[in-house]
Amino acid sequence: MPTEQQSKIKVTNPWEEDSNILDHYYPSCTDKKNNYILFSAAIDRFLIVEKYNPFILLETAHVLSSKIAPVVYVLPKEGIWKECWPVIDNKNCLLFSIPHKKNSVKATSGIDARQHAVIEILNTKIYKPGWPTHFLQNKEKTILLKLQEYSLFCLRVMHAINLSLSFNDMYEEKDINERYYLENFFHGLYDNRFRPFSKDGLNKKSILILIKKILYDSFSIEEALSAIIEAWKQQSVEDLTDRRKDFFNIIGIKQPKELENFTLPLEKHIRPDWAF
Amino acid sequence: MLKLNDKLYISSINYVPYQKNFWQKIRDVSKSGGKFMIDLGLNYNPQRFVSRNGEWSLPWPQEIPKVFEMPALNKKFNKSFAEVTDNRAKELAKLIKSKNYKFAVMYSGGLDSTTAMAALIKNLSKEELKNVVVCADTGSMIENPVFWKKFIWGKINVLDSATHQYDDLIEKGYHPITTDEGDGIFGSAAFLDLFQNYYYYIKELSGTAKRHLINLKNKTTDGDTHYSEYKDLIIKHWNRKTPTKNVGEHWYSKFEKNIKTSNIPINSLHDYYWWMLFNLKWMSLTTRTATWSNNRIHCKKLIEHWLINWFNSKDYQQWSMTNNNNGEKIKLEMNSYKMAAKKYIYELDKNEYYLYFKLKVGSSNVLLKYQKFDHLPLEQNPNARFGLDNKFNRLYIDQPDVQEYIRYHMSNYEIDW
Repeated sequence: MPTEQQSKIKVTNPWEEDSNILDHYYPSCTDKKNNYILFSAAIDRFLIVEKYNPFILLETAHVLSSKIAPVVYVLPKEGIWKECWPVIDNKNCLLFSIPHKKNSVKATSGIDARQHAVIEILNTKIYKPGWPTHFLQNKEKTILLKLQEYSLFCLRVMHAINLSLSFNDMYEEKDINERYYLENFFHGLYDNRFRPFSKDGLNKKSILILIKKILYDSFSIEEALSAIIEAWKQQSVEDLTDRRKDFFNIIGIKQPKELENFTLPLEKHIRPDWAF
Repeated sequence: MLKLNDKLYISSINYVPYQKNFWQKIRDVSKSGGKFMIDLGLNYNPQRFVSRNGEWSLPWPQEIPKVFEMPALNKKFNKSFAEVTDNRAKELAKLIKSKNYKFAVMYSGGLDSTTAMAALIKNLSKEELKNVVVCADTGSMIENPVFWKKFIWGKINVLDSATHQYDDLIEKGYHPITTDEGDGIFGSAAFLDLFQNYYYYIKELSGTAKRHLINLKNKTTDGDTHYSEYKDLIIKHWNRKTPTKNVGEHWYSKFEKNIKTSNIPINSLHDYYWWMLFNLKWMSLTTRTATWSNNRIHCKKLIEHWLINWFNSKDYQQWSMTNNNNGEKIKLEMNSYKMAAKKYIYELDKNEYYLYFKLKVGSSNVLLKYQKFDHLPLEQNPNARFGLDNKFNRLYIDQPDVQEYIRYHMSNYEIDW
């Protein structure tokens, strides 16, 4: 069995490290421990942990539900596991679990289990059984670490897309309308004659929805990143509000050159800027 | 009209609100065996245990229809799960060729129905697949999105299971294919519950029992570790919901008698829970949808002519009886449950995540949820159904003859194990 030291993830990608940028957006969380945990009953361990935002972790769990049946647990402030939980981070969480799932509506496989993500307050102590023995062999270990890395990537992307859109929405009327208003508040009260405009004139789904779908469908980080770059090309040609730049910045990677200088070919502009 | 000496195919002690008062009143007039059967239903609701092999007394006379009998064990059976599954699909292909049969696969995206779909996709020609529709709901997509996108949507005709019950499908000429008895082939969700919550169930046992069981936790699928080593745990598990404390003890003795009088080797703890499904619940698994989720078609016609119980073949049952404790049904942890099915699906879809991380998700209630029964009088609702007599007639709990039948037999049934 690998020792705790051996089982730590090799830190090579920014989404596997703590983020100073996220501390900037969540100032009260800077020194907080990881209060939110994503559990997978298939592994019987905690897959990833998060300290900033339970809803972002839940959104991440939703995009991961194409691969695992995830449960997000919120760790209560006090509890019998208090001595144990502060040490859990994304480098050692695969060594931790809960001894039984009787207090969870979702985690137990069987008639009550479902594939979609759920969130619950954890009502059981945490213990440290060590590395999951059913993922000890090379092949199994590789797929588990691949899943964990992909999950951390998804978590960071979900932070990035939500923050970069929210903080730069002022001139993105089309995107705001798509995300918040049309389906939620005006469903059945408009048709295609009333599609909102955008600077680039494209009439596509919100980039938020596109990116979530990419994360849900992709099998690897490489596949997802490449599809994300393509999605940005379709959605945000000029990036006047720096949404795209901020998105990559929060992920922790430089915006790809092909996007920095990207402009849509003229013939694809359905309604050119000067029409307005 | 049900007579007192009539035999039943399936009976159900079901703690739904509709039947609760009835069973409580029956309990008052029941002898010791009858009281136990009702209390057992509190733990395992609905309680529909019927034996196909070995002694298992019931309050009333029981018969197993030929189509659901257990085949005699063939110790030399050596076909792999993949061979058996491919052959099953080829049998259906023959029916398409010879009789132009049309099939509707009740598809949840789970391991059993995905196995059936994978087999049909692998073994049927494009032309033959035109006679197959997938009956699914939105939950089916979510449970297995990769399979849905890669193999179903746009490739095979789809019907919404929310609006297509067995009745509707049959009236359109489709033979419904159900994989309801998949758990019976591979083992029991109750075992998964026990394994997943092992420390919960042992926490109130004595120190000695606890130490003993902790040492045995990783041997639950080991054929050399006999289930009787787990006796305290099994009893605890079977006492989990019942106010009557000795239900677990009675269960253990009654089921042990069944195991000892059957001719199938039951060794590990997993074997124990597998046998419970494969033997005692096979009738329930194979007939439950026909009995409880179907209204217009008579059960005899449905079961004998229309319904295809995918896993109810001699070969699947032989495979199930000859593949205990070798990692094919389960290795140890929950993600390895139905491993043979996972490997079979992987050969087609190459989805590593499904292979390593997919868990059993219950979907048996989905059909019930979509069932339209508002037009039925209350006393004919699914929750008012008691079972089937041996002519496949549905029995209802409010029928005076059924009530008299139950009262008579329960008040004469003593513990005999």
